[in-house]
Amino acid sequence: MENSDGSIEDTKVITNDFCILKDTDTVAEALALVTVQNASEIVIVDEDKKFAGILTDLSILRSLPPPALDVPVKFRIKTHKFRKQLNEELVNSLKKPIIEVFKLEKIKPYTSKNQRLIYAIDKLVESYKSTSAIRVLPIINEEETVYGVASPESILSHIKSNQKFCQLKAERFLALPEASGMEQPYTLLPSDTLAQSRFAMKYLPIEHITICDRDGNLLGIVDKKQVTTLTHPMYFSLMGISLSEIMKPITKLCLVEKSQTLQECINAYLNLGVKEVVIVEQLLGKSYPKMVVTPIDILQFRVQVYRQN
Amino acid sequence: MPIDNMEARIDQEFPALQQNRPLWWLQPTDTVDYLDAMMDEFKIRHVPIIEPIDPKSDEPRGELKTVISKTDLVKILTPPNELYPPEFPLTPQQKLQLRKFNQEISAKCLNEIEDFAKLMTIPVKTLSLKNSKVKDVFKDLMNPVKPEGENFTRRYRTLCVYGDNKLIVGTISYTDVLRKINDPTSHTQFLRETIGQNSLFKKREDLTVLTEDDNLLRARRILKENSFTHIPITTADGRFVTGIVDDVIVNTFLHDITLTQYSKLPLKYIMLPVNERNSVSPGDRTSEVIETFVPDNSKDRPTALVVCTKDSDSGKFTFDGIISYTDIFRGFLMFINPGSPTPENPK
Repeated sequence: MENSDGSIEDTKVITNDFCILKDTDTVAEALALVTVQNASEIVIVDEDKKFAGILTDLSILRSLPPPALDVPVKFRIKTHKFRKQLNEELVNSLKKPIIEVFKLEKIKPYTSKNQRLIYAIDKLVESYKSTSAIRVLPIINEEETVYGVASPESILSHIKSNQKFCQLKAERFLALPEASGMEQPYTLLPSDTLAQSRFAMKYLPIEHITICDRDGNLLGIVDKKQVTTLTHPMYFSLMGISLSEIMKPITKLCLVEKSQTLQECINAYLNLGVKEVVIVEQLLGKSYPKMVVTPIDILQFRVQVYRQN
Repeated sequence: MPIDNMEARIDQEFPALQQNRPLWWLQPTDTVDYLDAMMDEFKIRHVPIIEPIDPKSDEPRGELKTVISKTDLVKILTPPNELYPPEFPLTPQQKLQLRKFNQEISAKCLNEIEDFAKLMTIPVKTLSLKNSKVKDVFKDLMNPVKPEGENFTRRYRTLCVYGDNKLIVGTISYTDVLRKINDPTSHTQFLRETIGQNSLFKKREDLTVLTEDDNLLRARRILKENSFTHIPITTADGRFVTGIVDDVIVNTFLHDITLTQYSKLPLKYIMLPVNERNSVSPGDRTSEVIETFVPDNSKDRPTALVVCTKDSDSGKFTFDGIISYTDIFRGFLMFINPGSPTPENPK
């Protein structure tokens, strides 16, 4: 049974299953973890193994050109001279130590294993909302070494035993006041461009953009990772690419009808490994997006329900 | 080649202008999201807007309508999401306004934006590859211009250079000139002496200073009423300097939608804290100070630096003054030609 008032150690949400590197390790090693292990965050420690900060996949991807396979053929660099320049820059960047390339201030928050779970969840959510990137909460020992991390997935694994919470309808999200800060669908047309989605993600607190036709029918989504990956000065011409060419199509999305339960969302994260589900209203065979929900949103909702009770 | 001869032509002093270096430019019909992306991705703060003779050509050949600066851009936009201070959350209504505003403005053409359209009616300072001289570069980069009939001044930190047949062959910015001045093979005395010895920086008693608790609106009023673009920030008691604000960061927060929320925002929430990238000491050599303006290992390009001294007891910084690139230019011109009028102070 979920015990939000228990400590994060007692509730067993601390996991050792996370990526860790030293600040003197290379950017290439960090990139390998992001691309091969699909790591969203890497815990960075200094030479004394003390916690030095968190490096996110977005920071790494932002500093490098997009993988050629992610770039539509017509936009790939064909000039030998530019390809050579790109290759040289890439090799040089990858050899550099992490500490030289990324600003690694000791990113807060981090917490101790004695923290109450509900406070830890609150801290994790606040941290994510303020950094728009860091989704894990490092758990630090007294000597400042890393004991483990609490991730949204490890917390959801604990929360899924709370039947009362998990049986709430997904549409409860839609009734939340705008003040909760939860993401509402921001929609663009398939003919709109990468430049427009980049702009929206820079100036608004959004991580996902739903791509719909003019009737509001869902066709796909683009997320911040895709936009960040494709945004690079050597590929500036990509700014004009239409979103239909880069979006994740609806066939690859996890859709949850608004009348279904939160359990469906949690199962999708834990069992299918998806990073977001789209809550939709289905009418006459069409899907109208109502909200894109991430594990962090579920945790935020959990804190709100806890407070209401 | 040292940049000593004020009568030399710019094509001789800046040979890179003839090497077909890429020029990042846009057309008046390009959109705001492109302009924003171009400035961010290429880490540039000025984008020439050119009405090309042949709209289908990639060549920047045509009429230079204006040069849009980062300050011009932030004035029309809301703050980037990551800059909102969490201590001062927006209201739900403001959030909705932001969403609507940003969706609309991102796809607008530059010439549809009232402020930009107005800029496009003001004559632009340009240079000519064959006719302009080094002294013109100094003059145009040092002196702000007050357009006829307008109550504001414009400062050009980047100048576009016309070649033949209305082709814009490149730009010269204050950073290009600073690198030329920092040529170790010439004027070594000027470069070796400290900025204190060269009397290059403005002293604290001559400056307008605000404290961390002063608010954003006050900073904007001061910047609006004066031609300088930076204000040093001190602790409340004025003993130590802790940061600096410039016209870009001040204007970033004062969009109509966020004005009520942030007009009283204390400057400590938005100032750039004093660090090794934006400060120097009176005892630093002029060459070192120039390197801080144009560091090799970073894309940071500050236009003014805090001059301060580290207090060994507290580790804090006592404030000595401020130095801008125009101070370096002025000192350099005095050094190579003592007693002669400078572009700022023609006799």
